[in-house]
Amino acid sequence: MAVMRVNPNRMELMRLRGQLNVARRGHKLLKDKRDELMRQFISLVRRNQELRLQVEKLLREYNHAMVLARAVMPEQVIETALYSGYDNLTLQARRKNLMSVQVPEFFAHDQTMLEDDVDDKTQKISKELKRSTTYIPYGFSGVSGELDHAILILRKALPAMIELATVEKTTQLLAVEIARTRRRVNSLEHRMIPDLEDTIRSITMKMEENERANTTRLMKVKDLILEKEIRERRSRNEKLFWKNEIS
Amino acid sequence: MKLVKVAVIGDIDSVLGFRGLGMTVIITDNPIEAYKKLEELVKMQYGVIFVTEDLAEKNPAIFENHKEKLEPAVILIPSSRSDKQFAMNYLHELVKKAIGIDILKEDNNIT
Repeated sequence: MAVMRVNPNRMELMRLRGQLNVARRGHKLLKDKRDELMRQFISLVRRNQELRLQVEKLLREYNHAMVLARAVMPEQVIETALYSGYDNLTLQARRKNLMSVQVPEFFAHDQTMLEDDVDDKTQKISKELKRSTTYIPYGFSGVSGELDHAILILRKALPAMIELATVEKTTQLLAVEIARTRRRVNSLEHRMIPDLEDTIRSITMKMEENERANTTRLMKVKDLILEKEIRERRSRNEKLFWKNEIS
Repeated sequence: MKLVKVAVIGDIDSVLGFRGLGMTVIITDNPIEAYKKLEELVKMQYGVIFVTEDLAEKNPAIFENHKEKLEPAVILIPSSRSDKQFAMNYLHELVKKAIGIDILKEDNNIT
């Protein structure tokens, strides 16, 4: 129960009623938004977990393979072999609007992808990467097969990693948005709307009180006037009476 | 639609192979240095940056700072040195914060 500090008059009452209407409508909308965000978030987070388990499993395999590779080859050989592949991996980044939250989407970049329809992205990513799963960025002489194995495992992990990047970023952004929306809903529900209601009630009550005070005052005044009238009339009648008696 | 590059930050054992995929690989064991490198990469249009869990665990700023931004996506990957499931726990934490209960954990209990 917290009444705002406003003058109890009709203007304020109208203003507050308008505010209350807006607050109620906003509350309903935000609540719907929050529910929908939650729904999206839940399905996304499940996918996120799946992908993460998948990626972690593959990377663990890769780590094992890499240990083997390092065991059979000197460090320098591995490093030189891998340096020959230069930084050429680029992804296409798109923005998507998910419940008015801007979220990124990453795709593996390929020239052929631009030409045909880009809709079915996971299929495209896996198709493109399948073509390149056998691609090894270094010459085979002097490099043992263990390193090839490790790199191939990484290649296999790449589509999942790209999707993980998209999904995990989206979950993070959604989580932030959900927290923000929930705070708004709660502040409207538990603070703004009750406050407005209390204030409106107190203003109406004060105005009714004023109304009653006014009525009683008018009645009192009317009584006073009547009394005066009666007294005047009585004295006039008395005078008339004595006049008649004498004459 | 724009093109972004991909980078990996971590200790040498966990990340060296990513060079074979054409990612930019930054090798460091120092969480503070990792953070500095990350900031540099962000300025250089890197859209996706993978960071090993143990670096992120030691310096949470690495992934907290960019959580609310559209780009870059800082994604944690397991490192070869520890198996602490830090990223997974972080995901659970995120779910708990966002919707109040950990739905992922419940799933684990049922299955």
